[in-house]
Amino acid sequence: MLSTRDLVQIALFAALIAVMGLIPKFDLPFTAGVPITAQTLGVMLAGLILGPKRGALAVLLFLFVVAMGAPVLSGGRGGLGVFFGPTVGFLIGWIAGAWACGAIFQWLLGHMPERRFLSALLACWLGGILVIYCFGVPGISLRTELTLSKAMMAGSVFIPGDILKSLLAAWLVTRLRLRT
Amino acid sequence: MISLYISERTWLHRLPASFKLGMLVSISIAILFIDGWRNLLPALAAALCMVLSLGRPGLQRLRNLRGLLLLVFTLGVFQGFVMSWDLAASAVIRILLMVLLADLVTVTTPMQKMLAVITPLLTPLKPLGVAPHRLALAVALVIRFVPLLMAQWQAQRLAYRARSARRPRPVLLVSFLAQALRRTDQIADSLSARQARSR
Repeated sequence: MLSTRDLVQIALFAALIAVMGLIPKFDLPFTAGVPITAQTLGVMLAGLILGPKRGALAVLLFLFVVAMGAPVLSGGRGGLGVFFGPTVGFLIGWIAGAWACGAIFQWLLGHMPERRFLSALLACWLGGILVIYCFGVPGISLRTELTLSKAMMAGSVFIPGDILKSLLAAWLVTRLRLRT
Repeated sequence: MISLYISERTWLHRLPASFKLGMLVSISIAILFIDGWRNLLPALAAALCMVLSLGRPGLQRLRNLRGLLLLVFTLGVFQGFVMSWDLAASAVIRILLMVLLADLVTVTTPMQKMLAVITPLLTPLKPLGVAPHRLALAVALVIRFVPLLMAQWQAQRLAYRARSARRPRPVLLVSFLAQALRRTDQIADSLSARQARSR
């Protein structure tokens, strides 16, 4: 059962992910409408800081708020429509990604507690990026009937931005623990 | 917080939320069985008519969906080149149709009503520890936190700029997160106190 404190922290991170969607997104000229967003940063942070279970719940809560009509998906998108679009797989993947990010981070910390940055970074790469793509790419394939390999080509445009975000997330988490 | 809800009352607004959601789910399953873009076109035309029947807010909404439309078309062109144009056309039309219909539901259903419809559906999850009324509280907290967090971020940025001409931004993020987390403790405490009093 979630304590009140858990609930408030989960809501906070859901709001954090929302805020990252309200910041104007970058549009790289060659990506043609594909948003390079800061939101996956929020997803990774939720997993790293809250841990797997509460991190996933934060993402779930965020998606619920989006579904109900709040325009907090990057680019001012929101509502049920986004769940029928081609990027729906990534949205679902965020839930698993936050969980995996948190779980892998905790597991790695257990084995090498001094290597905080490295643990966070690997957790972001495996959980924050790989897991999300394992949901996102099939999602594109299912929604558009592209084959998996073509969908992978299409989805790979997000990857450079996500690597940058993972570096930032790992760095933030390292500094955060030193402070609190 | 701004929501996507269109406040003009239209015929779609008068339909109950559960009906609209039910239709949405049914249609999304039904179109899986329709093949060929020519067969899907009438449905898309109907959806467009419904959007336009909302009047000017409907047109406005179409403009807001521009980003998504661009993405869908880009994927469609990509698919046309690597697979077939027929497949691409039917895929694009399917997505457009569902996105438009789902969006119609969103803009004609206030968040409160959506919450009211979804919450009872979640009662089967109670044994797992998901209490529906706590969900309503959680949603309210998120809505409350978003402007709070943005204001906090602006305040920190201003305070930093007042003290220094440089802008090493990543450092600000750390104190921002730390302060936000401390806030949650305060809020959680006051919430628990209020719950204890009302018992």
